[in-house]
Amino acid sequence: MLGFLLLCEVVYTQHEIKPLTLHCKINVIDMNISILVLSAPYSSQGAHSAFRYTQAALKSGNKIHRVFFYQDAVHAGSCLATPPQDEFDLYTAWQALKQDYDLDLVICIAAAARRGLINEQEATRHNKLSHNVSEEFELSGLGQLVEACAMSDRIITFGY
Amino acid sequence: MILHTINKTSAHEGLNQQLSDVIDTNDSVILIENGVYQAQQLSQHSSKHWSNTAKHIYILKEDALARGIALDTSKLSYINYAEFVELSLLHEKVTSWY
Amino acid sequence: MHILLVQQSAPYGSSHAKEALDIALTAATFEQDISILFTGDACYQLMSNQFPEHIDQKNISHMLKALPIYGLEEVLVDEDSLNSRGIVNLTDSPVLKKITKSDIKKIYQSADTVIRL
Repeated sequence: MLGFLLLCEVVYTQHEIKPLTLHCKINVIDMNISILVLSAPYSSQGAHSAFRYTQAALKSGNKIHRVFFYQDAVHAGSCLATPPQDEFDLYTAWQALKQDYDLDLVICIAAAARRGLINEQEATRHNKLSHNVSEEFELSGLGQLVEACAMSDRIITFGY
Repeated sequence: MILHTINKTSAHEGLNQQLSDVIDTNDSVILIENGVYQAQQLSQHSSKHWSNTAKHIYILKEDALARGIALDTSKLSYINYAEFVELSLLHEKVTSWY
Repeated sequence: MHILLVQQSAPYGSSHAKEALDIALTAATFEQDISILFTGDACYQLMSNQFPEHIDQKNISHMLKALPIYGLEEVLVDEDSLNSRGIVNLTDSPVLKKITKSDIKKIYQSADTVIRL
């Protein structure tokens, strides 16, 4: 987890609000980021901002340790959500990002169960009629969030 | 050196006050989501407001464009998501105010 | 890695307070170096004489009392938030420590990671 910055000519202005020019690419080696998402898709823009941030980080070559979905954000793992065809589908967007980059997408199992999101294993365990969590998402405990805090160089929260 | 994000308008006085209480002169702020509406009022605050303490204030371009906020680059720093990520790594940590 | 967990939510009106405490307890279980700060409406969580069974909920002060058992020797409380809300009778806990606004600024600045919930 040791990381270092190769920083060249980042120009800062003084206290006034003035344009900042990042003169060159910042090369960050071996630094990784985790993302904590708290809000549900559609209900709050935070859910979408988290996706766009993660996507941008991956496209820039950064490492994402984990994306952890907590509180209402667990709904991002639904395989039944059906946005209208002329609206952005955040659900399939996360699934595609996972497939393209082998992302670790983790949904808090306790928060999910309370909100009616369960996978096949949990459905069997609790004698439920069916299950509704996409395969791309793993259901796990808060320990995964704590591990992400411990193992990541940065953790960023997208709230509601 | 903290990078703060704030996603609410200035009407959320308690939240903005909490940020003002915590921010240091080496910290920067990114306005995201509905927080970009604050771009239109940054000159209206008291000296103790976070906007007068922050080293730099950035605005997420996509959120500003979505909301019809003019990209006046003579006054404000507009960044995209890639630059948001870079700033996250330049600072010691990111604290989100929502 | 020192983690600062900032609690902001009043209890019972939403799940935020309880879910924030769940993170604190988990982090303590995993023996992480954490500080917990109660600020703003989260100070209402610390009031004594809570009987949430009247609204079919679990008592959040029981979770607070469990924090020392999980190794948390100190729970930080924003003194200004307590005073501005007129909160006088706090739940009986030996680990509550009142701190000032300038202390809060220092702990935000010194933590490696801050999670606000």
